[in-house]
Amino acid sequence: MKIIALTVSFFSLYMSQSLAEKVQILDLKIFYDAQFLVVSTKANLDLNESIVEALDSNILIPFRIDVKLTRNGFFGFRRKTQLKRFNFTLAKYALGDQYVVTDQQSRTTISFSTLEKAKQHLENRQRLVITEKKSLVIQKPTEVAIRWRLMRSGLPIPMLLPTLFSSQWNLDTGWNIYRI
Amino acid sequence: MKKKFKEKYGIYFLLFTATSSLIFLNVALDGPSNLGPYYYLIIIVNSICLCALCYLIFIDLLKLKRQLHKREAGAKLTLRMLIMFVVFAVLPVSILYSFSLHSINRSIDSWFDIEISTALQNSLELGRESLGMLMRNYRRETETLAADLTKRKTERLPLDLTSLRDPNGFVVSRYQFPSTGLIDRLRKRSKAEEILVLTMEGQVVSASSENASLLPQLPTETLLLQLNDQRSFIGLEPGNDGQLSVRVALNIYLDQKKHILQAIYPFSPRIDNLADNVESGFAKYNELKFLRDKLKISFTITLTLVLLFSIAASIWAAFFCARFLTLPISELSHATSAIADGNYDTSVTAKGDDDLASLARSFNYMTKKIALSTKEIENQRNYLDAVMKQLSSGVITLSDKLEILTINRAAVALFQIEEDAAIGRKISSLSENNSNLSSFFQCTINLLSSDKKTWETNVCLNISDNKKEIMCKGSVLSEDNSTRINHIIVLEDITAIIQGQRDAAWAEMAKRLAHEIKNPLTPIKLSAERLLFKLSDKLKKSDREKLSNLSGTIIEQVETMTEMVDEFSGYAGRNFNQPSPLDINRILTSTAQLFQEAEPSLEITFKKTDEIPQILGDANSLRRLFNNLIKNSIEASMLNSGTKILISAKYLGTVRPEEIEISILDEGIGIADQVLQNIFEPYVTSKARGRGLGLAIVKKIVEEHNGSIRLENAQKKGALATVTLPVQRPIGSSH
Repeated sequence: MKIIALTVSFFSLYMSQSLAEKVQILDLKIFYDAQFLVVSTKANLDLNESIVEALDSNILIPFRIDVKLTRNGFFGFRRKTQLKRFNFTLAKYALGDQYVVTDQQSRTTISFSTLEKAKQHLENRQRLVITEKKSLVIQKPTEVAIRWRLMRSGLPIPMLLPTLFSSQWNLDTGWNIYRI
Repeated sequence: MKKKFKEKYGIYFLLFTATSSLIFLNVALDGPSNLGPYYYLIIIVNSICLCALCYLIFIDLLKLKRQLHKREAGAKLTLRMLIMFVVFAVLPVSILYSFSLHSINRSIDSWFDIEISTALQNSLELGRESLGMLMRNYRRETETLAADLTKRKTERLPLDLTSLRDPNGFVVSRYQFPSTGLIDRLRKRSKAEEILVLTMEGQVVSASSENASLLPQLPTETLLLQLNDQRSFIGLEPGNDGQLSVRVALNIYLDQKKHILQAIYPFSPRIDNLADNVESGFAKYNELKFLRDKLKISFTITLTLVLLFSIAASIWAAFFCARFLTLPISELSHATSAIADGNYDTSVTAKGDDDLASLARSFNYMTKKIALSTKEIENQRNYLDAVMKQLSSGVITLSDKLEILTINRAAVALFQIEEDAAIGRKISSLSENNSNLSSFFQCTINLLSSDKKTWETNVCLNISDNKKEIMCKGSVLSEDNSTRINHIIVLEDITAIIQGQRDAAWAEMAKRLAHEIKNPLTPIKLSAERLLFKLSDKLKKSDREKLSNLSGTIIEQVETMTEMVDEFSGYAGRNFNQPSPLDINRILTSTAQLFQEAEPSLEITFKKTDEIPQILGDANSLRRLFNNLIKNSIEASMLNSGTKILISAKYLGTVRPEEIEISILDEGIGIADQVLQNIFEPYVTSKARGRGLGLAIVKKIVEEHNGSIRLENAQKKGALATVTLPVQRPIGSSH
């Protein structure tokens, strides 16, 4: 019983930190582009001192955007029909004293002279292809859920434990749901 | 069994999981690995394993506490082993832990040196400077290109290639200025890898690239905004393939319109390689510097987990080893207790070839031998008990404190006491509830307390109004204390023997008396009658009368003596006829009628029962028996003005199936107590003129018929004679 109680406390603490609004989705556009369902989103990332310090110490900061298509299932539960993940990294290029944003999917790297510019680029994600139009006919999703977060598991291993309970490192919007 | 199996493999699984997760934790920290995403899982698994191990230890500790409280075998040994293991494990592991921690912290600190840091910083600065020089050259070159381009005339309208930012888009060219040929020529003249001419909104006007298949590297919106405010941009850019390049963008005027000229210059492989080395070295160092404290924390956590696991595992191992060692001891202890309780079938498990197994085998052998010996002793004791029970002599064994250890059935019957109540009691206490025995036990105690090793005495006991002659023999069994039995007393009821001897003496005397006296009596009587016959006519009247009186007296006395001699003869020896089945009712009816006719003043009643079976016996003897008894009753009734004599016969049936009981109850004067004890002995009588042979003959007849007789005073008045005779039992056979 004690173990269960401790586990519940642990996850409660963890969840309470996850829900801290260090990152907010400001805008979301869902539209069809030719044969794809595409999402453009804009978020507000709060890159606090700890993250900036890590970034300036050449620590690669991984971000992830999860986009999930859902429809109503039995008893009011939502049923996932599609999940798409977009990974981005923010890093500092020491030699050029620049900040580099890399899209892990397209393997495109764009460098910026200031962190603010890199952050603006990172926040503004355009034309994220979710799925093909024809698959939507079969899946019939009714909602799209989007989530921005800093992927702590992608940080260097020595940082994993210290950042586990650190609110500064818990950048997560949680699931934001929009009707299609 | 199944539970133990599960427990065993559960622990193996736990230890395996704990060790594996510790290894994974160490590998994860050791350097770049794919275990990053599983780091939290590894930590959780480690924590769960540690908690499970602690829980097991806690359970074992509780068990140990219970065992210590109950003083179970092996509990203290387990505790000692536990302390020993903990001390032996905790001390070195703790020392190792503190040294390792210190070493790790120091080695992590040693990674960061001010000189290395400065060198890296300097190399970075040097790299920046070198690249800066190159970048400046590329800028100048781009400015030259821009100057060449602005001299040309605008030929065509621009092409909107905004869709190029879409990786899935494609380019369709309609017309362009400057022409691709011009741009190509300019690019080939310069060191640029790619040249782009764009509008201020980012629309590609013209492009030229070394690799025609690749899409042009368009400027970002941020860069476009920046170029709106400034004249030029130059930046070092790590490419998609990791190759370093320089992006130079300038504002140019074509047809009096503001455009952007962008040129991408790649570095030579050597410079690129050097720059990459400087960048990665500096970045790695910087990263390590940042992770310095976190690394220390992580290593401390790992080491602490290892320490805790080591301690917990050693404690658990202590329990395991202690259980392994103490199990045979505990089993031996339980087996010893079982044997002490008399369970000789107990054996212990003797696996293996070690000392404990050898001890277990010896124990099992010893147990078997004890079991065999005990069985033998038990058999001997049962045999002895059986013999003792069958003994007609009473046997009592006593301790040195004169407590009764054993008493056999004959002795119990003799004293009429309970066997279980007698065992363990002092011999003197047996007389507390029976005053008749006090003299016997006092006499016995005196003899036991004397220094004699063997002694013998005859004691007269009066138990339940029966006088018994007891021959008592005692001896001291052992003088040392090796055995509890100290004295043994053998009791022999010699009442019957003495009585038999007495009866035999009486019979012999009676026989001799009858023989010696009876023979001259007849001549005496005949002589007296002859004298009277011969001389009565010759003598005068007075003398004749005198002779007649004298001879009459002689004849009368001779007849009396003849009667007496006949009685003696009857007591001394009787010749039974062949025993035959007799109807006891018939004998008693005729006898009662005979006496009723002779004594009409009395009411002699025979209460007959039809169910009485026949007995084997001599009818004459039995008639004489009942005659004597009824005659005695009549005489006693006459003296007490009694009016009734009740004769009854009954079959004892279910109580004693082989016997019938005949009783004669009168209303006479009864029998005096002092006479009652010896009433059946010859010459014992309460009558003034009796010779005391009647009841002696009665008893003899009863005994000849294997029966018994009891004479007692009735509850109200008179006496009651009870004769018990066996049914269909041949005369002379024993019970």
